[in-house]
Amino acid sequence: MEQDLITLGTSIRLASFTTIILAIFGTPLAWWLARSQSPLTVLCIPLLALPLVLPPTVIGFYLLLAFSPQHFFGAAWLDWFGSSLAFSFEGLLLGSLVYSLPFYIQPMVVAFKAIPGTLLDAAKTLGAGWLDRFFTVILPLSKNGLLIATTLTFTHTLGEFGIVLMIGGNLPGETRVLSIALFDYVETLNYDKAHLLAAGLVGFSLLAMVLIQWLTKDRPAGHTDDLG
Amino acid sequence: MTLFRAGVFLWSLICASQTYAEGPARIAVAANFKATLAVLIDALAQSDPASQSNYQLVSGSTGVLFAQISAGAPFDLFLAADSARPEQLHTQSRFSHHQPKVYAQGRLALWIPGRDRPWDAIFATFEGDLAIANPALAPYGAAASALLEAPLFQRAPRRIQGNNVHQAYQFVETGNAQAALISLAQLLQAKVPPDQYYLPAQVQYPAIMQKRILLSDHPAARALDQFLATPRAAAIIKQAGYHAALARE
Repeated sequence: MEQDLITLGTSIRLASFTTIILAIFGTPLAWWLARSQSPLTVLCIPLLALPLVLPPTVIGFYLLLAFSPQHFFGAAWLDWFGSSLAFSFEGLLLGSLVYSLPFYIQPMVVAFKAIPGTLLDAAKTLGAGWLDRFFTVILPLSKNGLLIATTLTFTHTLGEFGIVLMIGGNLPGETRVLSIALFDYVETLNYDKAHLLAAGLVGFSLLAMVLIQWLTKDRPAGHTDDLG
Repeated sequence: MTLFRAGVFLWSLICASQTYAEGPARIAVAANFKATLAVLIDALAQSDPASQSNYQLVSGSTGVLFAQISAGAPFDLFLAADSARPEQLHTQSRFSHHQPKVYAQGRLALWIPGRDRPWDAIFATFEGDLAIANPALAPYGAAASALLEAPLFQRAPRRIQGNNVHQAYQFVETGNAQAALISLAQLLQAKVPPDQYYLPAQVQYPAIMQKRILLSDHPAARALDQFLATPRAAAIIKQAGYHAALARE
């Protein structure tokens, strides 16, 4: 039980960090994708959607190679930080950021696209700076999108399995997450404990979906219907 | 109506593929023994060339395969990396008419690819990650874990768990871990130079008695099961990095 609580803690930590970091860096990226006329977006949108369709094993495999001190990225990381990315929480976090990126970006792009440009122009004319416009116009109008994006990112990261299996190394308190513990319980036929974790995940995910449904209902602002 | 016919047609295809499953025998083999089993099947095929296509190998950790078989996976022969799981299957009524038999005794090997010092110095100063197979799922992982209970390393290295010995090997192969405690057979198979690995004395860890159990009456599976008990198979198994003296019962 204590082991399971440690595992739960690791999972929640991983999902929280992933969500927060994606909210910080993914929001401006989504804004750029939604509003920019740059031809670069044509290339970036499919590229950023790739983790949606790629098997997690593909991402896991490339990450494993990238993390290796035999290769440039892994060697440079080891040089800078003195520890390797493979089998570490930081490595998992990096993997989760890649894996969950589209789950954050896509709802945000949809939400940002739905904001009428005229409103922003009006705010600008009234003398609102960009920070002011972001917090008083953009954010309130894309609240639903933000809610969906963060919830999806969090729950999706919580359920991550394939990548973790490949780059995690199953270290308690560091890289052993709920889905891995569940797998181990099932494979050792420890169904009682497996039920506990599995039912917990079902319950939590259902709760998250109900929460989205409830919070985004009957709110005209932001187009959540065409989430896709 | 067309849709209905298409449905019936598809269904008949699915059923056909099930009833004619008398094709290849499905062999569940512990990851450490997969390469050796392929060699054994080749040897068996020399006397009976038609038999080579008769086998489908599925490898994984013994625990994972055991769980799959317990859940009804359609395997005809199970080559485990321990004796406990085949014995446990034997207690289930559907497999009770087949006796588990030892086919090999596994050997642990400590692999450090970049070894530049004597082993004593390595044990005294090693700092890095040591990859092992998941002890809960893989007998080699359990043996490695038991071995590490004794003070082999002066400072216990961080233990990275792979799902089976293949993944533990792969962690080192890709350079992400610096050492692995896995099966000797894997290292011989990969032609790793002998100065890169260390063989702990057999008394330092519980014996890895690998047992097999027939799960069906599939003729090809039966033929392979019988072949595994021949001196010729024992010689191949020994050459692959196992103690084969005990390979027959």
